[in-house]
Amino acid sequence: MVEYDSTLDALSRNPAARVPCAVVCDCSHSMSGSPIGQLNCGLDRFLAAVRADDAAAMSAEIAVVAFASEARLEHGFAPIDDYPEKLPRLTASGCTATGPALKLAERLLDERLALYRRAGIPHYAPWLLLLTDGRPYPNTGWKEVAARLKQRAAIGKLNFLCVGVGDDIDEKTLAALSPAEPGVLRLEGFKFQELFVWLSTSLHAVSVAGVGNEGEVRLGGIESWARFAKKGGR
Amino acid sequence: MMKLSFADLAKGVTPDVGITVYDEVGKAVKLGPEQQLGRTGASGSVYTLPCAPDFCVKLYRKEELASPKKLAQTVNRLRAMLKLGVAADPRFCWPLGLVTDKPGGKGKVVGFGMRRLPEGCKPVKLLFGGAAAVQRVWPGAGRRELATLAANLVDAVIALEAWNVEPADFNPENFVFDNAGHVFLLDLDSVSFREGGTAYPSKMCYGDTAAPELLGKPDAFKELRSRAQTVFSMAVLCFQVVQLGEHPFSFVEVPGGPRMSSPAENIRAGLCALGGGTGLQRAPRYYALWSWLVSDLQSVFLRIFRHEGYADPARRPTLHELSFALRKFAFECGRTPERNKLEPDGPKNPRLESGAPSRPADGGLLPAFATPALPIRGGRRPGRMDGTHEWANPNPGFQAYHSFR
Repeated sequence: MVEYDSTLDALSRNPAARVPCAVVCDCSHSMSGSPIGQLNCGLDRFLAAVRADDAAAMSAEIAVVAFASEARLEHGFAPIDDYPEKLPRLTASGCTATGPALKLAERLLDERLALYRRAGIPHYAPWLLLLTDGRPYPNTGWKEVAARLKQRAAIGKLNFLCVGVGDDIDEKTLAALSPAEPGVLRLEGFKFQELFVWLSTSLHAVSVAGVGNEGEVRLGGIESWARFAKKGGR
Repeated sequence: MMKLSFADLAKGVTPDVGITVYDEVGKAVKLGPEQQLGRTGASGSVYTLPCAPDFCVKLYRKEELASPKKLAQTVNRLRAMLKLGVAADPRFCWPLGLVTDKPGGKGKVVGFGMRRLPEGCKPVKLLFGGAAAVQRVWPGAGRRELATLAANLVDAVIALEAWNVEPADFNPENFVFDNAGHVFLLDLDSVSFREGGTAYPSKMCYGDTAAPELLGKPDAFKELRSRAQTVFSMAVLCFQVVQLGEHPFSFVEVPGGPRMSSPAENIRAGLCALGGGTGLQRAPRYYALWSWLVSDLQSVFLRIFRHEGYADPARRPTLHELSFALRKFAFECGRTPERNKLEPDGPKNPRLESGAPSRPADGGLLPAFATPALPIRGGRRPGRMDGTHEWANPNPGFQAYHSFR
């Protein structure tokens, strides 16, 4: 007989198909000041929007990874009801450990998907949202992990969005990080709140579709918070 | 599995805003974003009508009607739907009239008008998140209410079939209810039907509930849907309603066992963990819920998902049998408090606790999983097993429907 521990039992209390979403936030020195404040407000709004949406609240599970000189897990995958009203404030300092952060997010996603299968819970393709200025410090393995994530995105096993933040974006690196579709997105100003409203709306749209019908989901436009970068965009 | 597309991100999916549309007598109405109901769907958006609060308008996305061929197909289909009398039944958000972009019937058809849902309706999908979700969405409901709701959904589809119409989009978002248990069906412009000798098949397929003979077979969508396919989809939907969201084709993945995939893939592979002898296991808490179902209902589900009806559509039980079994379960829930609980204290047969082995040593099925031979009740109308008039026939529009016929 299968070992079905308390973690799996707690997960199976809700048999709804899940849509895990990892938000990976660049908290390096370049985010100091207003940007990190806007990011914190955006995350708060994201959690509130998911909480207020019955369908998204039932299906979405969110993890938050922050990275500066190293990657750290701010909150592991959990349903919105298990989240505090507000996350601890993110602070900006240090350099940009993009590779370790993406590796951590990839591992978290893989572990979560395995947990769903062990609990007998269907799931949608997971989401990974990377917010960064695209200036990783070298030799952190970001190219390898980005290649793996892009490959998963290309076959529909991951919805991977890479959003450039700030005026000093390294578009070449961002293009190397970003999947072919949708390409490199640039955040307009620091419209994190609009971005996270779009993300919660998108998670709702996915969660009301069938697991096998994600291809029919029509996502909202990004014009209120981003534009496509010239290179790799459209 | 079709992957999610980011192709629309640049332009978004917001349909025409501020568009003025006309009904068939030339009455104009301007529709803006403030009138939009919900979010833009795959085929279009729905708008309220300030001048007629009981009605709404669905406008198709531009891309849906871009080609003359697609436009002609859609208009022909809508005109044929208007000839049927389905709209008289208030359970169905059925097209009531075409909407054009120019007055006097000269413009291009851009959508259709239909009845608007009463306030407070919710999709049954919101009940699919376990006991906590049911309590949040429908306070005070037990499994009796859930079973009655499921039976009402089945009865609504039976009424639709009286017009030779089969639903095609079994997304639980399109099956809505209010807290009195009244049910309504949405997004019916994708139905499969025949009118005046012309067949109008549907390309719509909601994979999570689709009958196995539809999955992975594009040619199947050139034919009209069958009642047996509808039975399969409705059985999945009803199973999820009474089992608080558990999908009949979900199972616990174990080392060396089959991989837990999407519901559609599991349906196609026949990976159903219900009953004995499958070698598959379910999440333990759902054994208890299953054990409290009446044996007639267990039998109907097993015959559809596992036994003769899985591979042979002709041998599936009918919607009447499904409705009868659901009402019998509702009746029994009213008699036995433990059966009515969303979270029973344990399985009906304690031996089945925590994912019990699927087959005892003698090779036979365990008692509560065994499938007693259910007498075929084809053609027999279900009785009112719960004995409560308001639940047996709760829809105020039902009488109007019969008067119309």
